[in-house]
Amino acid sequence: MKKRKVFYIHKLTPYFMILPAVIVLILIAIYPMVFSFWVSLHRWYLGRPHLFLFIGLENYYTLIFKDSVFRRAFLNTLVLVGVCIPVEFALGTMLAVLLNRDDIKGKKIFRVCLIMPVVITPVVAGVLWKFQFHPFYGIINYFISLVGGKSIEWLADPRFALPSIMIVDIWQWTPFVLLVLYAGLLSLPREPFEAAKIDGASEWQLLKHLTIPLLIPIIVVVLLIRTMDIIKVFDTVYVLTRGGPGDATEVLTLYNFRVGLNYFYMGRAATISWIIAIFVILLAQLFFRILGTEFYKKRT
Amino acid sequence: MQRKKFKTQDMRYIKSMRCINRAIAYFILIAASIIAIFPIYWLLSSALKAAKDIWIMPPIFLFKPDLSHFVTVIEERSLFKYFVNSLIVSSGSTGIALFLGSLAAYALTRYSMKGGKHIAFWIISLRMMPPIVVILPLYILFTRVGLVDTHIGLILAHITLTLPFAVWMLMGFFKEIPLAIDEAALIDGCTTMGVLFKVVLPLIRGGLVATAVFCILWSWNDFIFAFSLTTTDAATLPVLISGFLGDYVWEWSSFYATGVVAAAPIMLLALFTQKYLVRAMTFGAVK
Repeated sequence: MKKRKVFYIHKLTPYFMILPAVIVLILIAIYPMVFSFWVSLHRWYLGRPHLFLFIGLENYYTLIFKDSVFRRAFLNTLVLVGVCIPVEFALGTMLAVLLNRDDIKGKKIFRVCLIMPVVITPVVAGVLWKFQFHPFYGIINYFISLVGGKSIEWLADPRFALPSIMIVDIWQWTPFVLLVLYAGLLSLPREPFEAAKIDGASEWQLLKHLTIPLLIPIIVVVLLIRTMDIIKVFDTVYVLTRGGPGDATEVLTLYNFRVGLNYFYMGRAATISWIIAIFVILLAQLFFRILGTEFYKKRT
Repeated sequence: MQRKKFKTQDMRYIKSMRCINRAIAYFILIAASIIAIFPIYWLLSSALKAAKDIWIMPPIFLFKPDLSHFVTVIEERSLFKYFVNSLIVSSGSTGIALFLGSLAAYALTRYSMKGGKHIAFWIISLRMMPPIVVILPLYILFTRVGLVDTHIGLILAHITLTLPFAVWMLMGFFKEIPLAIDEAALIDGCTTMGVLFKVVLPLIRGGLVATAVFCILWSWNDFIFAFSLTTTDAATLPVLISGFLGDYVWEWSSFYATGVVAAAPIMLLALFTQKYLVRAMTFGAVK
């Protein structure tokens, strides 16, 4: 350490190097967020922008206790988290374990296929699925009719609208979970597995007692990232249903957008933003707490 | 004799079980891959189908390619303008993010700074923030200074996505270069900036390209920023695409053609850097 410091005579150099990025981020992210908090304490309708009335925490109170659409949006977001993440995780783990088997060939081809949903423009993916959900021309109802089922109005029926969004999310993000877990599997040491195999452990025992415990940090990362991503889901829902029918698929980000940029109730919209932000900050804290030390290894 | 016979049967049983096991594994993986790429196949094939063929169910696999949709969207919906907008915005925000990000990441990895760790975590936590939290205030601020529906406005907004990402991604790559190289260059009389731009950055060429590709990916695929902060002049491809599904009219053929133009370039780029995909998507937590 000491020897290296000799070279860095200019002690302030690192601060000057980091400063531009920090200033830019403060200007375009922190300042707006602080401003947004200030707005959230006011009643402010952009139709009459000069009326900027301080009301304290009333916006928070109204939203949480009086606004049924907001509660619906919150609930829907939680349902998305509660259904999509376990399903994506289960499917992703299964596929990752299968892909990691030694007797499987063509891994590269599978990988390329499975990367595609992750990197395709989400709006394009949403519209593609909107076609497949079409009651007459979509391929999903075509398969249902092949096995003799009744055609379903996927996006127009309140009972099926939210599951439709789940299907798209699961289609798009299961491969992501799979790729991350597969990368994790590849990084595991080989020796414990060989030792266990010699001792006569079955495949299932290997998975349960070796693979999963060793993968725990990566599993936590992937679950947290997915949770944070689902909380911000917007593109897919906007393209597929715009929150409809009724408020069956209203989610937090979409409702926030609507209140702010369609109805122009800025005070209330800023409040929703902050509620989402608090939610995500708590999750991110968890993310850092669990991975903090490993996540930030300084090799200086 | 009896015992030996039993043993071979046992082996055969295990072997056949293994074979079935393997077949099931293949079946599941192939099914998953087909489900994953089917909508993308659908996009490409429908863009080339004549309008009447799109609606045939079950879908036909042999058809005469028809490029007229592309001509239509270029002529009637000024596809070219949106494409250029997407290009300007994503390259602009990527360029700025790479420049500022490599300076910051270099400082964070090479110097022991007071509070450096906190700054790094603060930067990554910005990347995790839902965009909508920043969008509403940015919208108000941008209307005041006239940045709504301008390229500069959208580039600035996208920097909230790309810069924190670039800092973390590059930090990972810088850590892989041994410090001895920097020291050697310094001894030879190189300045600090010289070390960064002439020695270290060329060494992490591959990582730099990967970082750039994923910055472009976030910016190119972004919908919520573009949709909120632009209307026509600086609107990007996703905004144009969302407009094809109006409340009454759905322009499917135009959508498919535009969808290919929007999705194909970014998917190809991502293919070249697939090695880094997992690393990029987990902010460097998993390599």
